[in-house]
Amino acid sequence: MLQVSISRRAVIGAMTLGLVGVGAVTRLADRAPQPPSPDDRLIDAAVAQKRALLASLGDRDESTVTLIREQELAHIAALLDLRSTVAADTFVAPSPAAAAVTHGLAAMSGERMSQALAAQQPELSRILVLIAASEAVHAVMRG
Amino acid sequence: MSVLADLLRSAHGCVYAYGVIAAYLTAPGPALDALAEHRRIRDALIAECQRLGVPVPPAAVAYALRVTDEPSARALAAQIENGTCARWAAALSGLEEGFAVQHAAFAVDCAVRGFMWSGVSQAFPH
Repeated sequence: MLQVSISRRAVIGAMTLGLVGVGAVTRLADRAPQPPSPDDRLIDAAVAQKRALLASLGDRDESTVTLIREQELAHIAALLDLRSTVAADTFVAPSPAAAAVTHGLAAMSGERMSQALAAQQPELSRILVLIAASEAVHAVMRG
Repeated sequence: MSVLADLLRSAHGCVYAYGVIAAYLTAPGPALDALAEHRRIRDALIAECQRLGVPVPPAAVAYALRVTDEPSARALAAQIENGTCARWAAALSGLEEGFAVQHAAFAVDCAVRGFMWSGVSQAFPH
C-alpha cells in the first residue's frame, strides 16, 4: 500500500511539474521577439530618419532649427504611438552614418510619401502624409 | 466611394474661395496659380468619380467666406491649404492606389502653399 501511495504522489508531482513547465514555455514564447509588421517597419524607418535629422541639427538654437526640432519630436511621438509591438524607449539614437544619409529634407519628404502609400493602416498613412507635408515645409524654411 | 465625393465637394469650395481671395490681393499671381491647381484637382476628381460610377456632387451656388481685406484673404488661403492637406492625408488610404499615387503630392503642395500664405509651419497641418 505504501508503494502505491508513493507512486500516486510521484505521478501527481510529475503532472504538476509538467503543467508548470508548459506554462513557463508558453510565457517564454509570449516574450520571444515577434517579427515587426510591415507598418512597424515603416515606422522604424521613419523614426530612424527623424532621429538622424535631429542629430544633424545638433544643438543650434536658431528659431527655425528650434521649430524644426520640436516638430520632428512631435512626428516621432506620433509614429511611436502607432507602433504595435515595441515600446518607445527601445529605440536607439541613430549612427553618424545614418545621419549622413539623411540630409535631404525634400528627399525625405518624397520617401515618406511612398511609405504613406504603402502603409496598411489608415491612421499611419495619414500621419506619414502629414509628416511628408511638414518636411516639405521644413525644406522651404531652410531655403 | 464617399471619400472621392467628399474631396470633390471640398475642391469645389476651394476653387470658389480662391476666386474671392485673388480679388482681394494686390498681387494675385500666387492665388491664381493656386486656383489653377485646385481646378486641376477638381477636374481629376470629377473624372475619377465618373470612371468609378460615383455620383458627382455639384458645386454649391455660393460659399460663406469671411474675407474683407488682404490679411483676411491671406488667412483664408492658409486655412484652405492646411485644411486640404489634412483632408487629403486622411483620404489617401481610401482612394484607389493608382489615383492615390498620382495625386499624393498634392497634399504636400497644399502644406507648402499654406506656409507661404501664413508663414507658420505646423507639425501636422490641420
